[in-house]
Amino acid sequence: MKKLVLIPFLAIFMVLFSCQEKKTDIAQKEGIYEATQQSSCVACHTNKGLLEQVAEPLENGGGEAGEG
Amino acid sequence: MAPLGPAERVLVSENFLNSVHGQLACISCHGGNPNTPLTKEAKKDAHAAEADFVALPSEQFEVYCSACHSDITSKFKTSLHYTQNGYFERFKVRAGGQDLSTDSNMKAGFGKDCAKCHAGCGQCHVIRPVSVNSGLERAHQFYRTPSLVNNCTACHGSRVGEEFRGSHKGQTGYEHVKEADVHYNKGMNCSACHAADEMHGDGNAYTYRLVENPDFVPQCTDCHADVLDANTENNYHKTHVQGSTTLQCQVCHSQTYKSCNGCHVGKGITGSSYPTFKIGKNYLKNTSSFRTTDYALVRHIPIAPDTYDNWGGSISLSTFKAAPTWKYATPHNIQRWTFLTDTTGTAWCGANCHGQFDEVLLKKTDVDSTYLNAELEANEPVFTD
Repeated sequence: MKKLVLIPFLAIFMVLFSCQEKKTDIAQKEGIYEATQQSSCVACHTNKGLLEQVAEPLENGGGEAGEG
Repeated sequence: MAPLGPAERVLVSENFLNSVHGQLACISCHGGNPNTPLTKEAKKDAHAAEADFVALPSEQFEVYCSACHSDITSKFKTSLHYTQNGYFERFKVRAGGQDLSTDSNMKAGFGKDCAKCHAGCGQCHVIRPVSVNSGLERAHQFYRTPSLVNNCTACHGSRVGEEFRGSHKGQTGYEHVKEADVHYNKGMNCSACHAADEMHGDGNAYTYRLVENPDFVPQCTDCHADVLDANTENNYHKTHVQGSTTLQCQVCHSQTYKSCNGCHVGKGITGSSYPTFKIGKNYLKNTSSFRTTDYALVRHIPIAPDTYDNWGGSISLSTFKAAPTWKYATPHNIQRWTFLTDTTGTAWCGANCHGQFDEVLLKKTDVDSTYLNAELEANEPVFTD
């Protein structure tokens, strides 16, 4: 009988805590971060086809190796 | 290192978005306008200075990185990678103690020609260095260990990188180069010897990498302690490591390496680079607790009395001779059997080395004649004759 009484509480506990996102920990750091949001940044920078249309080549074409 | 294409340089992967850093909103680190149309015309608005766009957030690591990585950022702000203090201090040595940053022309010249070798957090852990035009190395995923090819030797490439990978094998003048560095062939990354503490610093403001914290500087004996064993059966190690006249390990175990005269600043001795193998007196012997040998390999560095003339500043290298131009070197092309240690077919065990003293010891006759007096005076502590 005691087990049956505990079941609703267990269910509520699981609902409350099992879906908590890890990002909460980071968002709390110093208050400088915001939660992830869908934006034009993500929409563009994850779309290679679009980037190939809008990204401009570097004047010198990119480097090879340094001097050290 | 193959350059990244224009799209690859800024492409962000799903893996990044699912990573810890990917949980942050883009604008948290990069600012900018996140609500622009996906068109070429709108790109400028998204990345405008007016929208507080920040291309390289980790350049302000105390703002963007320290919330989670304060144990590192608190030390890194004084590290040589970040401050380039080694450059400024070595300049002072040859410029009568004058600081190049006090002259606007010199400061501008440094900014144009040399400042790109500065490294913030991102240039080792998320993008390629600015000196090779940056670009996201792994589609924005952060990584703990920098890539040997695309991070470390992207800056330290023309000497360390080429020597470590054996790039000179088969080239004229490099006939003694038979293999890449044995550590490279065994798959070791730079970080195997140059640990994070060395890269990030310890919070102290050092002025010169060659005399910095001895705890950070990799020593061959960290792994090869057997050469210090008094009971070693290796007579070479008994004589030249434990004996009265000691040699830096590289003297016997390095292959031919590169010296440079002129550099990208513009002036200097003609002839940009050339193969060398020169043993000099260890002029650093009494300056640190770990560079204690009597002799060491030296290489010519790209410096001449007129190196900075193109910058048009008022500071000259008035004390040019205060430091050698044949500088203490640690070539990264180590092999057990080199043209000095391989005794196959020789009459006696030291023939390869002692029989080639004229060729391998740095002498006054080895210096470039363009700046003969300056070179002779600067290298007086290094010459073996």
